[in-house]
Amino acid sequence: MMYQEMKHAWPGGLPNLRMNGVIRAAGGTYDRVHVDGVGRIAGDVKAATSARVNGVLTVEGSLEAPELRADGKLNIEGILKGAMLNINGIVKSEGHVAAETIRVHGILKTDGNVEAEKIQLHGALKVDGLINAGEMELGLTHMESRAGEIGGESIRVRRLQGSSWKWLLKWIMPGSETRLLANVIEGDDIQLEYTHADIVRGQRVTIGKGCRIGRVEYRDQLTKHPEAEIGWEERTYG
Amino acid sequence: MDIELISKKELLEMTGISYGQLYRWKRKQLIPEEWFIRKSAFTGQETFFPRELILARIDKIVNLKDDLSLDELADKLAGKQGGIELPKSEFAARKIVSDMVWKRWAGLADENERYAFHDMLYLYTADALLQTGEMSIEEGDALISVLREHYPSFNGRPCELVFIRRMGIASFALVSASAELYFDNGVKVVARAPLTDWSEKLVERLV
Repeated sequence: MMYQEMKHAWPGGLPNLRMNGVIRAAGGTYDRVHVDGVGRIAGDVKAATSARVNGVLTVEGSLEAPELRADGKLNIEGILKGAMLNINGIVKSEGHVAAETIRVHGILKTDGNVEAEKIQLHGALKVDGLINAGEMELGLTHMESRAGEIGGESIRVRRLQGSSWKWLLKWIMPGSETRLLANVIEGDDIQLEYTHADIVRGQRVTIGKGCRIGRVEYRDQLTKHPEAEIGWEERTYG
Repeated sequence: MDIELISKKELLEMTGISYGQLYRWKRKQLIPEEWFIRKSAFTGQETFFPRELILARIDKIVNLKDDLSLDELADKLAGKQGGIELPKSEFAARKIVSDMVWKRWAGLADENERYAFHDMLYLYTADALLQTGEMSIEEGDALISVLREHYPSFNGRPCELVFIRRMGIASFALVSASAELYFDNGVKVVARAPLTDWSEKLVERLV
């Protein structure tokens, strides 16, 4: 890594000033990647062990790390890939996001697809493509979430009470309802709240309060909150 | 070339698998991304699949998943052409190879038999060489037998087909990729190409 440091050695014995703040690095493969402050990495970067970001990191390419923890903001111009992604704040990717486990407290935004065995989100998401997850728990807060399609084994969407993130989210996207918009949601076990979707298809489906669904197709069971709106419901073969 | 499609809903009804399983297999790359075909239908966007390919694939996954882990299965089916199969009749109906090739080298086997990808590749390669006019149909016999006998021994590793003629007599060889070969002056190299050239083209025609 190239550190841009400011060192002032004063002959009179005063302390040095060291700014470990603005970092620009070349891409490549590293053992660990650790960014404190504002970082920018030119090209694809791969961490063999882990990546840790405190502050803001922009990667002008793809980021791959078995373990990634980011507190702050992460901008990935390519693909974000790993085993365990743990993000507090905002993560934005222009490509796909793929991992074993994805935990986000904040906002997850991607132009591509999201794939994981397990997704836990507390906050909001904007996914243009497909979210494909084995087990997915979305706790919605503060603003509108959007996904093109959602598919998986277990899909749970709930609206949560707000938290200290409110000011930040309000500032980024003012005046939006806390709910999820999706075109299609398909899975084995689906439990939804405050979700607007064109089509929901599943084995066991629960449509909770605040939902507006165009069409529900289910195999085993449909549970419906009295305030939920469903345009058309159909039981497909037993 | 019209490929018969099946909607996702119909597929699940026919095979009895669930949405969750389908998404899981997609995540594990047991079903290639290219097979998910989006089309607009009266209910909005619907996903379709190439019917014969997906039915064969799901059959395979369902049968193998008790013996192999999903990751092992993924290795087996990985790659674009991994594990592609078609019933013979379907392959014939697609008219991917000419009737002449079909009659000469495919006619004997049972109609209900399934073709693995490499079986289709042999016919497709022979067809391609015939189309260029470089090979005669009799010479094709030698080509087909070389492919059937030796292509499997490369076990998926890249290899090249070398087609030479000496004093008008054709010969075929399979060599591992980028091997250097030198012949005496009497030999004319008619064609030399990696088999992946043809397999890629064939994948495009199948999906």
